[in-house]
Amino acid sequence: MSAYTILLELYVNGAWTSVSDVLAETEVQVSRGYTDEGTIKPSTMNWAFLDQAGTYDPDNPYSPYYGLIGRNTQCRLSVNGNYDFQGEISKWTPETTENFSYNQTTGVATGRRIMRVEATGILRRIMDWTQTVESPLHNQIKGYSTLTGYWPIEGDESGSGGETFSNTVSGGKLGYATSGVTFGADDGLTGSDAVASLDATANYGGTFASTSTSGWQFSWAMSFTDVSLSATTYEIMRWRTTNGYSWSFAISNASFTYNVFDAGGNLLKTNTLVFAPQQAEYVIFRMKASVSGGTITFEPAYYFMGASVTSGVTDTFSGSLTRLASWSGTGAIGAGLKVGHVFGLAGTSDNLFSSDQIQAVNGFAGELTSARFARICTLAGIPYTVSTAGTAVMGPQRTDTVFNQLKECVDTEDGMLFDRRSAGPMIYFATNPTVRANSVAMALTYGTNVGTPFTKVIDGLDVANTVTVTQRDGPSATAQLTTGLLTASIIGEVKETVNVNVQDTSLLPSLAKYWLNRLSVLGARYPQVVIDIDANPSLDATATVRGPSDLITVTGYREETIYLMVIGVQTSTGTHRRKVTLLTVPYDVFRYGVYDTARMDAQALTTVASYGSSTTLIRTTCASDNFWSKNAVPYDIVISGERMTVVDASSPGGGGNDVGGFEAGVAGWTLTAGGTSTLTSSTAQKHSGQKSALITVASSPATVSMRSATGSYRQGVVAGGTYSLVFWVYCASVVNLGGAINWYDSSTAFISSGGVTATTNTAGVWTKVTTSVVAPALATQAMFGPSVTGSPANGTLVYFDDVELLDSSGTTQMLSVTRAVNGISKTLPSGSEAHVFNPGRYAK
Amino acid sequence: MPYPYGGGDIIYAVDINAIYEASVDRPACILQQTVSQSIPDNTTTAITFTTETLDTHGFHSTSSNTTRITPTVAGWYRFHGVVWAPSLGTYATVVAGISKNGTTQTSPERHATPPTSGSFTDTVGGTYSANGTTDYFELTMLQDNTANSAQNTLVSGSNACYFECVFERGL
Repeated sequence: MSAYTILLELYVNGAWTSVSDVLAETEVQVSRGYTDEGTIKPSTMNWAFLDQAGTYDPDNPYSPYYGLIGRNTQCRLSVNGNYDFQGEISKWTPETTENFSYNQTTGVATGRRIMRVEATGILRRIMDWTQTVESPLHNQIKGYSTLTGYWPIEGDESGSGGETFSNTVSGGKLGYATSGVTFGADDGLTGSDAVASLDATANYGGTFASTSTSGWQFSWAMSFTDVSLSATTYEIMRWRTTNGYSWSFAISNASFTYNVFDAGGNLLKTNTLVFAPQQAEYVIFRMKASVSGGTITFEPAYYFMGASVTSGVTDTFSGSLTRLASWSGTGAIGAGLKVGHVFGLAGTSDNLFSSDQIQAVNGFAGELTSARFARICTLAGIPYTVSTAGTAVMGPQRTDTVFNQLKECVDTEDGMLFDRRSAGPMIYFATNPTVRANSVAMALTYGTNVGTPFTKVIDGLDVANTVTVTQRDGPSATAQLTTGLLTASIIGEVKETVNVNVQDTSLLPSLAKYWLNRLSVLGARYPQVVIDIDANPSLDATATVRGPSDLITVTGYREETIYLMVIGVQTSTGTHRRKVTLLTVPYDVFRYGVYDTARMDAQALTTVASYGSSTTLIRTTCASDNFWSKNAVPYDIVISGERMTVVDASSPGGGGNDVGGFEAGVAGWTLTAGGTSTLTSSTAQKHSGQKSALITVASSPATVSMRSATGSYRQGVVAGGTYSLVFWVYCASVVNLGGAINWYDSSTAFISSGGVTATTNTAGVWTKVTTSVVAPALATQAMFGPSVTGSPANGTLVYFDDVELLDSSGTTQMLSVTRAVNGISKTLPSGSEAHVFNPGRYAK
Repeated sequence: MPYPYGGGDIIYAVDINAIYEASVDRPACILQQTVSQSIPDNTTTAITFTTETLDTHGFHSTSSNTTRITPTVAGWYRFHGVVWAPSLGTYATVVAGISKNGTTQTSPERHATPPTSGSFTDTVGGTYSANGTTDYFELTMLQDNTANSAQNTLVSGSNACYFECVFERGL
């Protein structure tokens, strides 16, 4: 039995301190990732100190660690040099035997005292945070270092007191509002929480902080979509500078006017631009002003939410420019005006229409889940790692707690979030497995390195047949299972709801289908895979680093390899005992199709008869757009639980007692003319699959003919039926071609022979020859095949492939198979469905 | 609109074949008249086509029922046709039409008043359904002149009757 090097450390007084030598005789238990699907959990570690002196009791004044350890003391565990856990201690629980006593002076103890300790990963702290990530626009604006006032007018302003609203600038004055202002009334500004709505009597405004900078910028957001606009121009915002100048914006239903007045009310500058205020739900206005000498340059501009461009002009006038003093607005333009995010900046260096600002206005809609996750983590100061770029494009970000923001990314992605086990970034976001080239991380063999218990469970856990995907603050879509063994009519309705935030809500039906597929995987679950490290020490390093979203396989338990996705890892480690338990879910739904690798399935094709366990020619139904590939052989299919390899397939309508693709050689075919010419199997040329039949001409006979031989290779036909004799031929030179179909009755008596119209091939190119014939009266069997005529030269090599007599219906297809590939050997009932083994799936 | 597929659905051959049929193998048929045809006065007459510019799915025969396009794949098809009449100053009417199974169909494209000199063309087009087996379509021409005489269709280089259809979507 191996000995394990356990290094358990506490972070005490600024240094990692080993406490491994005082572990009680119990094992250290670690759990990482998920214990059931969909529930994000912090990792945990539990252990116990033998603590006779109370050294590890944070409440013991005699302890050398008194005041240095306690709640949230950092700890970590490594086994044989690999980290199993990092986190913070969340619970200290001393336990003593009944007769325990300890003499502090002599150090003599009676009985036994241990300290049980529980630690959790950083996710516990993140999940407990009530701190919110403010709206994207709020976060963006508050990041400007030169703010002289920022009134978000966002969300519930009841905490601001009376008819006032908050100013985020430290020491800044609250905004004021008369009656007629309804806070938190409209959530149409994508990058914001709900902003205020005004009625026609509303008056509101604010005062800027003092600054020595004369240049400034002033900006706000407004919506006019609910306002009844007319040709009359109304002022929508006015602001003043400390020299008494007044600046204003005014709009009508078709224009935008900016004005500047001096302290005496004299108009210094005015201009009117064409402007359609209701073309977007919200408009972001900005005025930028700077001075050089006696010339003031100012730049009124606006941005329509959702647009790809901004608009504005540059203008000048003579005068003086001082700092911003105050601003005010009214609802005079009409009830329904919405306003929010009013702010001023000292100086003009910040670009208020930068791409960051524009993205913030639009709530960062269009971000991949992975990008949103990374941005939120950065905002919250959380070290993180993301596996790969996500699959889902997110909708607008709204105000919510940090954890809920992260969870929304995970849920929208159908990814996983968990604590990392080693130092460095604290949390890990594994994006959806369908976007990764998931190689097998660990291949296990039952009976060799899979410990007990390893059991399959066929139950209703993690199964749903009605799935609703609901968009945040939006619509939903439901998908329901209508076929198979998990439908509501069989197991009852099992509902599941998934909350997402996607940019394109038209994808909700598709997402609902994805989740329905995800939650309706037929077959057994294997909830856990135990790896006995003591018996398999070589697996320790590999097993230890396994984490959620890894793909593992188990062979030797069922006939087929079992593919499982890890969702959680649990380890139990003592000095001479270590066990790793991988918590798993079926991987099938993540086996996405990869071009040139995955196999497409055939849909609803069934055997046309019952076939014995050793029969190697099996006929199934087919259709013009739903048939078995001739070209991709060999490939595996499953019929009635038996896996078999298709080595050759006829064309639809072909194959009597043979397939004609020569993938299994030329057995059953013979030369009926040609002297010493030979017929062999060849891989040098092929029309489909890997092989063809090769005639090597000897001594230039008049004709060389190959035929489907007598006996079992004679193909069944129906008298009066229309058939096509088809063959493909390849020869480096031009040769003369013919062929024949010999018809026989049910007693194998020859009836007549039909010929193939004489033709030639194209040299060096596979050439198709087709002859249509009608089976004569009484015909029940046919022997057929091509001929090389016109005395071909000695040594000529003529290749034939896909030599078939096709019926006109084309609704059945013959497969030449190798049976019992998975060890299951059975009679195949008529009507059994045939499917490709492990077919590819659509990725998320 | 409901999406038929979601992540995790098995990829079936029929799905890919449907994509194939609607993209690289999208059914199409293009016919251009190469042999002039006599059109009786004031009688709607189907135009014959004895050569094919394109016929991907065997919609047309150059030997039998040469006036017909018979789609072999069920679906909605966009048809477009042009008729060419020779120079004649006495036309009262020259009209192109599309018929389905012998019945003239409503067309969003309309003809103009014939000129008094020079050759004359009229165009017609529309989107119609086909069952993929028996439904057939014909380009028709009606010419009415004051002499009440039959007129041959014009076949002069690229100036010749033209009939085409392209698969738009399934039924």
